[in-house]
Amino acid sequence: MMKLGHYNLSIKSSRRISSQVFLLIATMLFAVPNITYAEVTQGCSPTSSSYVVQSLDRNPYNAGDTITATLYSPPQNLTTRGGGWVVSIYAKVDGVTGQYFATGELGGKTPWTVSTQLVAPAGLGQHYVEFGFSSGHGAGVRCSIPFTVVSPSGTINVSSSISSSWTITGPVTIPGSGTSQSSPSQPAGAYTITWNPVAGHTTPPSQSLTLISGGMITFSGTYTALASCPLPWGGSIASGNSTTAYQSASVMSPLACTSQSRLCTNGTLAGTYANQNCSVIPATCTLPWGGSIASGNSTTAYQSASVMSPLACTSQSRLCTNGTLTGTYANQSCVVNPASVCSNGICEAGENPLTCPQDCKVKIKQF
Amino acid sequence: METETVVPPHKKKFLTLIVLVVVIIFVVLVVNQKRNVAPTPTPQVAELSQEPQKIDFGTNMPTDFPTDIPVEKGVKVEQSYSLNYAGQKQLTIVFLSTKTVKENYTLYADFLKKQNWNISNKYESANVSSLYGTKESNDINVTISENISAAGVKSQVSISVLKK
Repeated sequence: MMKLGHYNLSIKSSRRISSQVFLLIATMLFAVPNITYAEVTQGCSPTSSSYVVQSLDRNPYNAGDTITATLYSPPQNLTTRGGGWVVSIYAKVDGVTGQYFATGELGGKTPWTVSTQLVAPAGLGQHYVEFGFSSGHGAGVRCSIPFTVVSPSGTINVSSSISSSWTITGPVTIPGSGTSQSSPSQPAGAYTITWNPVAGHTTPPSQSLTLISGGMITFSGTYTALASCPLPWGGSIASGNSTTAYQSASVMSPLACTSQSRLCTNGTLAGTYANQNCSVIPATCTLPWGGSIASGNSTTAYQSASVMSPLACTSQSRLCTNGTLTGTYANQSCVVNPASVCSNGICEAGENPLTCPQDCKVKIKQF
Repeated sequence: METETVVPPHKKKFLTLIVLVVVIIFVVLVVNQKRNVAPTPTPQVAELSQEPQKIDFGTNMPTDFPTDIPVEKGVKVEQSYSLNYAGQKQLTIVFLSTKTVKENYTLYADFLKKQNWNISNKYESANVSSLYGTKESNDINVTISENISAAGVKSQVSISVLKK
């Protein structure tokens, strides 16, 4: 009876119960779970009520760097129940846990952050940050994330558009030349490259880059060819180069050639002189008897224009050297006059009344 | 001897309803369980980035550039930028100087020494000189090169500060 009555009661209230059940179902289907704690059941995998995520501030790390690891559990804050979380940062060698860099117990709500400096016994290679549940629900669960400790070095590459030279300054100094260069195992730090000028090209600006440990940086330099300059006498010169030009193609000695240096700057040639060469023309020599001879030539000159036989003409060769004539004789020619004969009745040249009164009589006029 | 139990119709309906409710509750629980299970998180490990974010400051000093580092006044700033790396920030300024390479080298060597920078590398040549120093978690690279690109200009100074 009681059962029957109960059944009857149930039956009577079944419609009411059904509506309550459906209300409950709807609530369960659409309501957001209001969970205030989580029980980690398997490592970093999803849990029954939440999940956990670990993150590192970066990776890899240099030996000596500070590592920062964070554990959080979106979307709810993760708290523990009946136990605490333990964080460990440790090294593994061949899969076996080695020495710990840091360890400690964390509590309260997430996110949890732990930082430690990777000093000895931190070695190069892969290590782990591990968050674990020490006791209570989820005890024994471990959630680890690997990180790498590398030597504080990297590779510096250089690429130049043309053959050039440069200097890289920083923790070390690396000069270089050519079109490319690769320098591995360089210490991390801030590096600056200074490109050296190349004739006829613009020089790339200096560049500064930071080499991260285990990383690689590349300096790229682009040299741009500048416009060359046409020369007045034909041909051209590259920008940045200069040539010597002359005011005149030739000058007469004693004048000298006048020159100037003409610099080509990206298509513009400085200066005005237009001759590639200049020659100095040696001066001629003026002859005593008129006329002139060119430098380097010589002429025969005579001491006297005439001599009386038996005397002979005395001559010399006069050489003209750039306007200067050697020697002193000033006669272009010389005549040898025959010797005079006294008493032949002819008053000849060279005879006079004193030397030859027979032939050169003095006529005395009588007044 | 078998006895057949006769279930009253109202009891039958009630049992059916109960079974239905149990099934629905089971389904709801399963669905809810699946909803609570979030996707497997992927450990978030920062990638090693070699492509830093560059911010150009034109002719102004880079933001956060140490104000105590001497910068010649009234000179033309050629470059001013910062490069943001993971966990590090490089601040660079390049300017033309009326001082010679040697004069600037002496100036910055004295400054770094007075400010207790640990000079780890020195370099001097005819047309390029540099100083590299560290202090606490910061690095500094001072590179001076010969430059006669403009009247009165004798050198170019590049200063990079690396903040870690």
